[in-house]
Amino acid sequence: MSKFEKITINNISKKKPRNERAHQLKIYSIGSVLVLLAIVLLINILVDKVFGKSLTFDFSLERSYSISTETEKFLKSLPSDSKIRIVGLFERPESLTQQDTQKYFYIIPLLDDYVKKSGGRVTVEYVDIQKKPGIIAELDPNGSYSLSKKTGSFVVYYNGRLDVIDPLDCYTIDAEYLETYDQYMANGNNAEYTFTNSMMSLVNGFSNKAYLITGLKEDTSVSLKKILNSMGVETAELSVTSGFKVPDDCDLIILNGPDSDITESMYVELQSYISKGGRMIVSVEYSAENASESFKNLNRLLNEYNINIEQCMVAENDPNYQLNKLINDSLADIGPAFTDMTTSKQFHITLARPLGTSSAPKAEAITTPVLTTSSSATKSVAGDNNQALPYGEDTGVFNVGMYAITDSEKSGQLLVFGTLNFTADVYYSDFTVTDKNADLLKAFVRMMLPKTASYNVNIPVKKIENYMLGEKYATTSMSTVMMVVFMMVLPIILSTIAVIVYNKRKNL
Amino acid sequence: MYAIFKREFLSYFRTPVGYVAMAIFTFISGFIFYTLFSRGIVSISEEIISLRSLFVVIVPIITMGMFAEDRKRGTDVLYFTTPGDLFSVVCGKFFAAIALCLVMFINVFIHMIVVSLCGGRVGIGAWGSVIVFFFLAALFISIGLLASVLTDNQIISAIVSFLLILVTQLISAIGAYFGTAASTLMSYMGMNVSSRNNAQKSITNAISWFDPFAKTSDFGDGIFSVSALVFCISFAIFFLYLTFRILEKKRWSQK
Repeated sequence: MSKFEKITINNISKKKPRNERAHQLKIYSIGSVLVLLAIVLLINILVDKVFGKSLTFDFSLERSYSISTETEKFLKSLPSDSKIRIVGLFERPESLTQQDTQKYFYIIPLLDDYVKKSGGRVTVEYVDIQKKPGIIAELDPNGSYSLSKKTGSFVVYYNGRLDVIDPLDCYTIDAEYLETYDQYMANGNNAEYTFTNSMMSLVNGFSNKAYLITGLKEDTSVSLKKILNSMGVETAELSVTSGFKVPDDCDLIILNGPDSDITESMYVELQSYISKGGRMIVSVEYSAENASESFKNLNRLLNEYNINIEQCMVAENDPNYQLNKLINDSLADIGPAFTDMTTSKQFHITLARPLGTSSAPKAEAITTPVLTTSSSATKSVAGDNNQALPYGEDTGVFNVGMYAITDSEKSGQLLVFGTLNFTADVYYSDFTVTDKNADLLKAFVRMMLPKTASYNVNIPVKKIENYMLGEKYATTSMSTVMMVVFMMVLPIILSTIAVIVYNKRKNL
Repeated sequence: MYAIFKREFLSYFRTPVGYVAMAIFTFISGFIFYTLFSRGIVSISEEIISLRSLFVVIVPIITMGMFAEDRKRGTDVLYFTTPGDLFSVVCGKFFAAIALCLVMFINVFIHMIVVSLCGGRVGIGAWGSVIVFFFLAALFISIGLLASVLTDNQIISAIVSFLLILVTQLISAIGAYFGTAASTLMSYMGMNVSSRNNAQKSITNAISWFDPFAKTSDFGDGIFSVSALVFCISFAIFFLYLTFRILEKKRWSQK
C-alpha cells in the first residue's frame, strides 16, 4: 500500500463519524434556535396580550393617563349591565405626538383606562364618519346634535341620551400665555373631569336647565358650563335679540361678565322672570373694557333687590388680604350668613366692583352680603401701574358679592358677584374648576336650585408637565453657550482624541 | 466573561472607534438639546426619543469590529481554543458595547443637570426614556453582534447591521406597506371591501407588533410597560444566542 493510499483510506475512515457529529450539531443548533425563538414569541405574546395591561404602570404627573378612584367608584356604582358608549368621531391616531393629534394626547390613553377599569360598563370606539356615515343616524337619529359637523369630537352615549365633547374642552388654557403670545398653551388636563361628569349627567339625567345670556360682549363660559353640567344642570345659550324672552324651561339665568348693559326689553323680561320666582346670577368686574359702563338698566333691575353695581373698583389696602401685593387682586371674606356653606372662609377676587345698596328696594326683598372686603378697602379707579386712585370715599368694608331673595309666595332669587372670579374662564384657566371659588358657586347653585343633583364628584384637574426653563435662562446668549459647548467644544475634543489615537496606533 | 468585557471595553479607547462614536453622539445630542433649549422648553424625554433613531448609525460603528476584526486577524482562535464558554465571550462583548453606550450617555446626563440648574424639569418621563434607551440599545447591539459574527469584513458587518436595524426601526411602515399590498392583491382577486380592510389591518398589526419603538413610546410620558422591556430583552437574548450558535458552528466546523 502506497503512502498516498494510506492517507486516503485514513481520511475515508474518519470522515463518516465527523460528518455525523457535524450533522447532529447542526440539527441541535437549528433546533435550539427555533425552540428559543418559539419561547421568546410565546413569552412576549403572553406578557403583552394577557398581562400587558396589568403590567403597565402610570407614573406620570398626577397619573394623567389613569382614572381616579372617584371615577372608579362611580363606574362600580353603576349596574353591571350598564352600557356607556364613547365614540370618537375619527380614526384612532397611531401616534399622539403629531401636531394634529396632540389634542388627544391625554384623552385617548385615559379612555383606554375607563374601558380597562369599568368592568365592561364603558366601551370606546373610533369611527371615521366619512367611512361610516351611518354612525351619525345611529347615535343621533333626530339630528339635533349636528354630529356631521363634529368630526374629531367624542360622543358619550347612554340609553338614547348623548353628550358631545370637543377635545379642547378637556384642557384648561393658560389665559396669560394666550394674551401674550396669541397661542394656546394648555396648563391643565380636564379630560377625566369632563368625561366622568358627562357620564354622570347622562346616567342620572339633567335636573335643571340654565341659560347663559350672550351678545353683551360678555366673557366666555366654557368652565362655567362644565361646573353646571357636573351638577346635572344642562346649559344653553340665550342670545340677546329684539325679541328677548326667557324660555319656559329656564331654571336659572346667568349673565357672565357683560361689558355692555342689558337693553330695556331685557330689563322688562328679566324683571318679570324674577318676580315670578326666577333665579339669576350676575357677574361683573371693573376692567378697561367696561370702566365707562354704569349698567343703568341692569342696576334698575338689581336696585329692586337692594343691590347696586358701582362704577368703580375696590382697592384692597390691607396687606393681609392682598395677593401678590396687588390692590386689585385680593381675598374677600365670606358673609356671616353663609359661613356654613363651604369650608373656606376667604375667596379670591380680582378687579372687583363694589356692590352698594339702593334707595328704593322692594319691601319684600331680603338682601345679604356674600363676600366682603377688609375694613381697609377703598373705592378707586384703576390708574397706571396698578395704583389706586382716590375716589373720595371713606375707608371701610365693601360688599363684592350679594344674595337677594324675595319674601313672597314665588321667591325670586338673585346672586350678584362684583368679580368674575366665580364664573369666568380667565379665572378657571389659571385656578381650575376645582378651585374653592367653584365650590362656593356650586353651593349657591345648589341652594338656588333645590332639585340639583348631588351626585357630582370632585375630580381634580390634572396638571400638565411644564418643561419651560427659568425666565433668566431662556435667552439667546444661553442657547449660544449650549450650542458652543455641546455641539462644538465636546465633539471637537473627542474627534481630536480620535485623530491622536489613530496616529499613534496606525504604525503598530 | 469579565476578561473579555474588559478587553473589549478598553479596546474602544485604544482605537478611534469609541471616540468617533462618542463624538457623533455628542454632536447630535448637543444639536437636539440646543434646538430645545433655544425654544425655552426642554423635555429630556423628547431629546432621548429623538436620539433613539441614532442607533442605526452608532450601533454598527461600535459592533462592526467585535467578531469580524478578530476573525480577520485570526485572533478568534483564542476564544475557540480556550476552555471558557463561548456564550461568555458573546456576553462579554455585548456588555462592553452597552458600557460604551453608558459612557456616551453621560452627555445626556449632563444635559439633565443643566436643565435642572436652569429651572427646567426632569420628570419621570425622562427617566422612563433613559430606561428604554438602554433596553433598545441592548436589542440593537445584539443585532449588531449577530451581523459582526457573520463576516470577517468590518464594512460588510456594518452594512448588514445598519440594514437589520433600519428594518427594525421601519417595521411599522413596512407593516403598513404589506397591509396595503395584501389589500390591493385581494381587490384583484375580487374580495369584498370588508374582508380586504380586515386583512390589511391584521397584516399591518401583526408586522407592527414587532416594532420596538412603538412598544416603548409611552415611557417618555411616564407610562412604564413591563411587556415592552420583556420584548427588548428577550429578543436581545435570542440574537445573542444566535450569535453564540454561529460561533459554535465555526468552532466545530474547522473552517
